[in-house]
Amino acid sequence: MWASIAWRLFWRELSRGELWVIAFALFLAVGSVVSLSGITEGVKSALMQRSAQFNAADKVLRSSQPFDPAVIELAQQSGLNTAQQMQFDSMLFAGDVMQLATIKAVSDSYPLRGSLQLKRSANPATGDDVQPEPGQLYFEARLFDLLNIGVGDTVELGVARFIVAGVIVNEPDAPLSVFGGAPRVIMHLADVAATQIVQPGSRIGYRYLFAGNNAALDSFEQQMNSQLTVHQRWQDMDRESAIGGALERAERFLLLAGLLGIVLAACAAAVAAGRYSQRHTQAVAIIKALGATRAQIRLIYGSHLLLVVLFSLLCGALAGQLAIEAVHWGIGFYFADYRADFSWRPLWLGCLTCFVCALLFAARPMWRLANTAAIEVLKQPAVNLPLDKLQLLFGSLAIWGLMWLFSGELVLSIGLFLLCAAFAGILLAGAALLVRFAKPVAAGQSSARRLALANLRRRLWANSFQLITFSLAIFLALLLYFLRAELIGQWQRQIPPGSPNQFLVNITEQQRTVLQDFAAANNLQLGRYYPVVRGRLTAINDEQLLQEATKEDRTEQRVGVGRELNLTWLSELPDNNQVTAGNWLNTDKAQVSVEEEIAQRLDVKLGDTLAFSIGGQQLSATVSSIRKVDWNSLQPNFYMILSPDLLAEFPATYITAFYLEPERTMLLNQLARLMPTVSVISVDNIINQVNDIIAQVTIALSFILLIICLAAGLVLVAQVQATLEQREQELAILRTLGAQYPFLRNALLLEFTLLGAMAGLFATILAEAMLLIVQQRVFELPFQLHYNLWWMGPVMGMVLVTALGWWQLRRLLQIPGAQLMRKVLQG
Amino acid sequence: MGASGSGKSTLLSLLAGLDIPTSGEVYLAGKALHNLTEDQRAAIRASDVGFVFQSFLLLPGLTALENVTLPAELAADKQAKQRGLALLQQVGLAERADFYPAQLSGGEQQRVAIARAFITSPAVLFADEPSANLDAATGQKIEDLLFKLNSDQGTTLILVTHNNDLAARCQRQLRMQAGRFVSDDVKDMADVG
Repeated sequence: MWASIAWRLFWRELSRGELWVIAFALFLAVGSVVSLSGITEGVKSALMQRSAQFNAADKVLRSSQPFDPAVIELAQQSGLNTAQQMQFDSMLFAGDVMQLATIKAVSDSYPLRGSLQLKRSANPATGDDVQPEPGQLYFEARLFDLLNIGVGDTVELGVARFIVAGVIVNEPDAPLSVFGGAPRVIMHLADVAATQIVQPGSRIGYRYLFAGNNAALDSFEQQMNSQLTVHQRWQDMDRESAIGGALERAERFLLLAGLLGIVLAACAAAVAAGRYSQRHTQAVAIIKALGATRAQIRLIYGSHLLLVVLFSLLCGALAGQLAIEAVHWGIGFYFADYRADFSWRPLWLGCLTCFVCALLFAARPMWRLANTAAIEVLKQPAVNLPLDKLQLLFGSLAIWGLMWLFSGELVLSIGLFLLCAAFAGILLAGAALLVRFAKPVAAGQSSARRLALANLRRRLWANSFQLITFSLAIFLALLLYFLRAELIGQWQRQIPPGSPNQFLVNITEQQRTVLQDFAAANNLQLGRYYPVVRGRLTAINDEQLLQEATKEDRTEQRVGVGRELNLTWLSELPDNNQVTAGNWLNTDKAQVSVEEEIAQRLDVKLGDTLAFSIGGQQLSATVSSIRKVDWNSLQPNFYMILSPDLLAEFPATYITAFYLEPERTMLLNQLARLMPTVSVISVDNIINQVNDIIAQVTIALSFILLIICLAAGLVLVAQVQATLEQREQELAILRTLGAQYPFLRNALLLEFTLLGAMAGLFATILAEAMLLIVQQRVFELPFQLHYNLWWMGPVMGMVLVTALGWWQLRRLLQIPGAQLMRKVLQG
Repeated sequence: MGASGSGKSTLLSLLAGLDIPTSGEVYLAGKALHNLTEDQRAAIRASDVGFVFQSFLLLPGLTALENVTLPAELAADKQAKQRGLALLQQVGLAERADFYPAQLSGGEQQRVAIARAFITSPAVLFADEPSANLDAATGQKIEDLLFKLNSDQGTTLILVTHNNDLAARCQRQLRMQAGRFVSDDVKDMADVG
């Protein structure tokens, strides 16, 4: 029977506001959680897939020991596709000519991701596509010139002879490093044994390549982790480009925005549920007087909440999923091979958020409702229920819990929560001060102004919570707006239009003049020349690096060092480099500046002496500085920079870079013909990729800003609604006492304008403080004041609060006095 | 009977089990209310007690019929609707069964409240100033209706009022002052109108 009563009351209640406010708040919470986590996952997955293409696999296990069939078997049992490759440096002989090359031997299924493109030709621009076959080698284009041979000729590798079958046009997991290295050769894995190159102690890199769906990959990785040997390690998949950094910042930002959205939505739900309960106190007392038990009351009102929760959950999840689909579609637009994986995680997170919000913010006031004493039926309904301290505690804990759940970062969640709590405290104190200050100001004002100020004082005093939520809502909207601008600006600065997109490597001293002429003739702006000498780090403080292969192997990234380091000498600290310890190379001789990560891995400290072997000659240098390098910048970066006195005498090659418009790429072919030994490395792909991400994330950010603004608006609506009854009573009395419409309107508008200005001002101060903290701590941006904020905040506060207040209360002003009085008397 | 603040409503709330005394004992229909939990007292109210309040106290979200049937539905009475319609017929509001309280006049709302009070055939009916919020003529009609239904259903009616005429229609009049009884007049049944 209670169900039919509950159902009937529910339908009638829908026509009043609070249930919708609760529903919309929960909808926003669910929708934002689902869409944000889904979008983040989608963008991340797109980037992982891109980086998988650059790694030729979803996961790569590297080993210094021969392939273990058990690993391959385990991967295949997990439903993964597998491939293997070996990589080693070896001499190639073509008659009397020899050349050191990096040989990559691949199995049939290579590559698992991305595409390997080989052509039956010495020129990448012509010839048929072919697949690597046993008995054949494929060369990087410059190797044909270096060995002075052509397609079809025979070369010796180890003790075996091979036919050179063609040229490598595209190798998915080729080093993106602007340094290049030795020319590259691809062969079939089955031929390696015949070369007899693999001997005990040979330096061979073995790689297991895996591809498959995320679940299978994760489960395989977990199983493998427990049995990894000291020789095996997973390859880092996404550190090599600017993308990793851009995405990490975007993820943090989305996370932050998501948290703020949830906090706001939870506030709106709590306010609306509080008012719902307050308005139903008398109805509950009546029903109880008529014989209802507490359990029946809880069933009746609990079912209302449950219906609202289910409705919001369904709509929120649907809307969130639609947003995710839209983003998948958008990503697919930029990235043709994108495989959108469906994930339950966003939906699960959304459900959990909804239930936590509903239980800890909305259910508590409704639960308390059942405790209303039946005797209340004989009393006047209270205008304001006393503050529920337990609700405050539960609510606060729930907000923190959600922050933790959503971010997965304990420190961030505690920090953000404490900041919010501190802000609430500051606002409370600020409100108290303003209320005191407003009293003397009110004296001597016109009566409408006096009424507005009096109203403001009384309500502020009685319910400072309102000012806090207004301020918090405006604060969050402002914070998000400015952070968004900050973030997009920073990304755009990172790759400004016209950044070098073509790098030239292996330029000899003589070729510099030719290149200079070519650049002048074609109106190209060449960048700085970086000299490069390849050398080996042999000792640290007289300690010979016997295990140098292992140590270097660990640092070997595609942008990183190989077995030989690229050494340069510079007198000035390059851009994107920052000395973190010691001093940049000063006038003293024989110094070296070491990049901080490699310094840490090799345990190199200031004052250590490093010994290098360059072309058989030994030299040593003292570490005078440790540098932090921005690997995200598309600039040549060096692990070791030596003082000019050490290297200037060695024969060096040079690296330089220039910007080439997309429509002039034909010039690269001319350049290749002019200087065949110079490698051209185009980073256009990376730049385009980063720009794509910026475009996508910008759309996502605007979407989040919209969600936050909606949530903030909802909090304002819930708050104004919560004072509706009290306002009705006051208006009825004022009307009865003869107050005219213009007087009441002016008083109301003034009250909301002042309230909005106050909330806007508080919000501005807090937003500026928070921006400065977040700017430095989270985004690592320089300290900078936001002048626009100082007018936008108060203006936004005034306009928003006044418009929303007026929108909700204007009807109340138009009700004739007698009718209003009757409404108030009838409750 | 008694003046404002004399303790009439407090006494009524104690008698009906809406509240419990800080000291003393209250028995209703043989049950010791002061020893019962809130939900046990609610069960007694559901089975043995009816209420008519001064300010009607109908649920604005329910129609006249739904307001009348509410106590019966809480007690899981399957005949609630038929009984509710019959009672609305008796109070002359059968045509307004689907009206909401806001669409009814004060007198009509109180008639709905009376119908609601009788739907569970309570042993005791408590009425708190049932005609105080109504004009004299309507008040008179409401009182007549209350006494008629009371007599038809054989209910014990306990009325709180400061209206001497209304009090005069009761079998026993207890007068209160500052929380204490100051007089107790019992009339013959023949005198009660």
